[in-house]
Amino acid sequence: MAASSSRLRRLEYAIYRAPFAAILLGFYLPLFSLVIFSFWERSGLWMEPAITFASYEQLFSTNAGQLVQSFQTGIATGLLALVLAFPVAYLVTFVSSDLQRMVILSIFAVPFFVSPFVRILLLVPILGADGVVNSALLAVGLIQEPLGFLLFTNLSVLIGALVSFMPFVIFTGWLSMEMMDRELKLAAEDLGAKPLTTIRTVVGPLALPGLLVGVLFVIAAAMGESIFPRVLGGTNAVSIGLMTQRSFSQLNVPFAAAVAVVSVSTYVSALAIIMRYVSLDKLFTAFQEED
Amino acid sequence: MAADTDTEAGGEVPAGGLQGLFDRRLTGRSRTALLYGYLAVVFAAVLAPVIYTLPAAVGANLGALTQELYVNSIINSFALGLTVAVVATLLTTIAARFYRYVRYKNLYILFMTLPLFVPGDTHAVAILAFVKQVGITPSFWTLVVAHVFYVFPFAFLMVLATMAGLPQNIIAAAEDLGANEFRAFFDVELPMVADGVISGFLVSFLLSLNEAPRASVVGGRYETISGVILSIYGAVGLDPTLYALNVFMVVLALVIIAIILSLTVLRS
Repeated sequence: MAASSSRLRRLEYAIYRAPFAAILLGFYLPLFSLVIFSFWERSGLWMEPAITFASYEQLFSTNAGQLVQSFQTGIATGLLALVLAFPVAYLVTFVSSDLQRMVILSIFAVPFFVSPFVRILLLVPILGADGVVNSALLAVGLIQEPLGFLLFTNLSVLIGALVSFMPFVIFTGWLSMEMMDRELKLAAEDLGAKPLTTIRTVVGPLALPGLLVGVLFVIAAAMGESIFPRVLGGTNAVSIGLMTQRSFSQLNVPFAAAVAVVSVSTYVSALAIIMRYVSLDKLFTAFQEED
Repeated sequence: MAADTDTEAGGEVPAGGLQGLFDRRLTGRSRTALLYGYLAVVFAAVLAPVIYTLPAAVGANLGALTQELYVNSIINSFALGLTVAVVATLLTTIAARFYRYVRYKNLYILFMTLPLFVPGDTHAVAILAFVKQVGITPSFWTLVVAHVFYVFPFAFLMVLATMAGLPQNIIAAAEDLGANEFRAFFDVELPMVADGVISGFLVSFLLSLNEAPRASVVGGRYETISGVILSIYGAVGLDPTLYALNVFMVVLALVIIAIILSLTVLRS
């Protein structure tokens, strides 16, 4: 009995550590190997071990402009997603019934689970010169000729990323509003605070850290997915994803690695700062404690 | 749309202007109506590409998809998606079950969900550079690894959310009555979290099926639907077959979302 129980204990121990070992080997090991590769030297069709800062020097001199522009686009997308998602998160948390909330959140899950090609390739005929948006605006008489800036510009790259990833901010916004103490909102209202004042001084500040987790995801995706600038961007489109993908296909692996190291460590540092204000374990299990 | 945003998001709007209108002139009911009106606009924007596909579905030549190239890529994508979903469901269910014993819960969740913040192209480059450097040929299995850790955070959070909602005393009772960890899990806990686990499985399958940046780089010669779509788009642009493939993918996604919805809403 004692022997079989200790064998069971060992099995239990092994099983519980399996996911940890798997993610360490399958995800973190390749990711951290990029740190090493970023100091290696490009040679012929591949690379060889060395300790050189050449890739970082190139990134922060020749490609500095692209790096800055990519961060600007990413942050603009993230902030826009925050502003657009906030009212919806507020609606599903404080206004809708339980059933309405489930239906609304499920509808927002649709674009996320639909092929990126549907989401992004089909924005071309929607935003194009003779596309749906321009035709509608022409028909109503708001414009006299098609708006050219809707497609193959930084704006269309931003729209593509927003349409794809903004729902994620709605989810984390809803979770962080569920997590907050509702009594605080009620207290503000009872003391005579007007709705927008309550939002600005109570709901907003309390929900912000959780919302920022979603915003950071949008920023990382908007900067890092090369498909947006490839399909929707103009010829001079730049992004971290495009830089990574291009340098890798030009077989400059150390440079691709350096781009990845700089961008991912920026996201993780930002996440570490946000985590001082919101605990992820409370955020992601927030809606269960309600019932 | 911009006007809506300003009214709702508040913050910079001076009191007495829009805020005054929002607070004084609008009753509770019209504020709700305004919020739902805004919701409709956001829905339209976010779903525009999906809605745009549906009329095209009527004229779509689904027969074109019976060509060998498409049939093979569809079979490949399904095989990949199912393998990824099985592995990811197993790993994430165990990881979520272990959560209650973890002392540093915040760090544990960060560790398990960090792949969310590593974009597709970066992840693809990491896997490909690593396997090539250690001498592994990119294949179906390298793609499985890439996809498992792409879907991992999503499936993990879904299962975790269901498990966090369990009344802890029931499991404690099972253990007090002499059930070991395994009996307590399979006989008591699993039936109660089955919906979350099945949802996690379906989400993993769907995400893998639709994934593009990793699938087009990490799989070597393993051709998926995404790879085929990308090469058609590169060669001839938005051609009718592409619409047919898109319609197929959209309908599949909608069916699976409906299943998840019925699992979660109908039970609660």
